[in-house]
Amino acid sequence: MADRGTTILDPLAAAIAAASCEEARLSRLPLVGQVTLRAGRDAVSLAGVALDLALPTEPNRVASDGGRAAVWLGPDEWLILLPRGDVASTVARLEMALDGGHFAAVDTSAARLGLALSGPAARQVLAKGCGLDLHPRAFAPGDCAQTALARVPVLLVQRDEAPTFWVFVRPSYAVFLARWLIDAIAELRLAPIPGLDT
Amino acid sequence: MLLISCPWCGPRDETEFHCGGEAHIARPLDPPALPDAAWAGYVFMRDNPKGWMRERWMHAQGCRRWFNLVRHTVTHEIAGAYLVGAPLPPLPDECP
Ligand SMILES: [Zn+2]
Repeated sequence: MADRGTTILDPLAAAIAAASCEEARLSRLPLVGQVTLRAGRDAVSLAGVALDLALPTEPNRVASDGGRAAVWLGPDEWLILLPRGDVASTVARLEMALDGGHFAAVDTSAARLGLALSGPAARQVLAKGCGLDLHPRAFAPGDCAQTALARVPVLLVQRDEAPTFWVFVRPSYAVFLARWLIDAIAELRLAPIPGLDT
Repeated sequence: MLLISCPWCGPRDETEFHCGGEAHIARPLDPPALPDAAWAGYVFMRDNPKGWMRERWMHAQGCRRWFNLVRHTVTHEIAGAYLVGAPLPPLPDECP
C-alpha cells in the first residue's frame, strides 16, 4: 500500500477521483521522499556514485532508475525523489561522499505535494494555465520544468508518452491547484451536444 | 508579453522572470571610503538609454538564476542572453 500519509489534499480525495475521465485522469501521488542537493559541477560525479544514480547535467532533464529520480533544478541544484524511508540514509551517504566540499544535501520532503495528470487530453488541460510549449517535439518523457501553472509555481515532470505528468506544488498552493485542475478537466466530461458534436 | 530565453531553461513567458535593472554596475570596493555623492551614484544613477541595453534578469519561477539580457528599451526586441561572468557581447548597433 502506497504511503498516502495525511495531507492537506485529503478532503479533496473524492472530488479528485470524480473529476477524472478517460481523457484526463487526475490523482494524488503517494508521499515521496525529497532530497535537495546543491553542489558544484566538480561534485556531480561524486554524488552520482554515492547515489548510484547519475545526476542530469543537461537543463530540465530527469534521470530515473525505476524507484528513484534525480531532477535538474539548476546548474548546481537537483531534487532527488526517492522512497521516504531512504531519505536519511541518502543524505548521510551524500554528506560522506561530498565531505570537505561546498555543498548542501537537505531533506525537503515536506516542501512539495505531488499530483499526477495522465491521458490523451493532459496537455490540453495543462495548456489552460501554462505558457510552456508541451508539444511532444518540445517536451517529452524525461523532461522537467519549473514553471507556473494557473500562476502557481510548480515543478512539472513528464513521465511517459500517455502522457503522464507529475505536478509538484508547495502544500500551501496544493488545494487551489487541485481545485483548478478539477475545474480544467470538467469540460472534458460534458455530454456531447447533438448536432454540434459528432 | 515578452518571450525571454533563459540561458538554462530556454524560452519562457516574461511573467516567470524578475528584472534587476541595468547590468554590470560594479559595487565599490571600499564603501566606507566613498564620498556620499559617489555612493549615491552607485545606488541611484543609471544610464536609462533609449535603445539597446544590457540588463540583469532572474528566472524567478524557473531555475532562479540571474543572467544578463540585451534588450531594446523602445521596441522590446531581445538580442540575446548571456551568463553572469561571460564576456560582454557587443550591442546590435555597436561595431564589433
Ligand atoms: Zn531558467
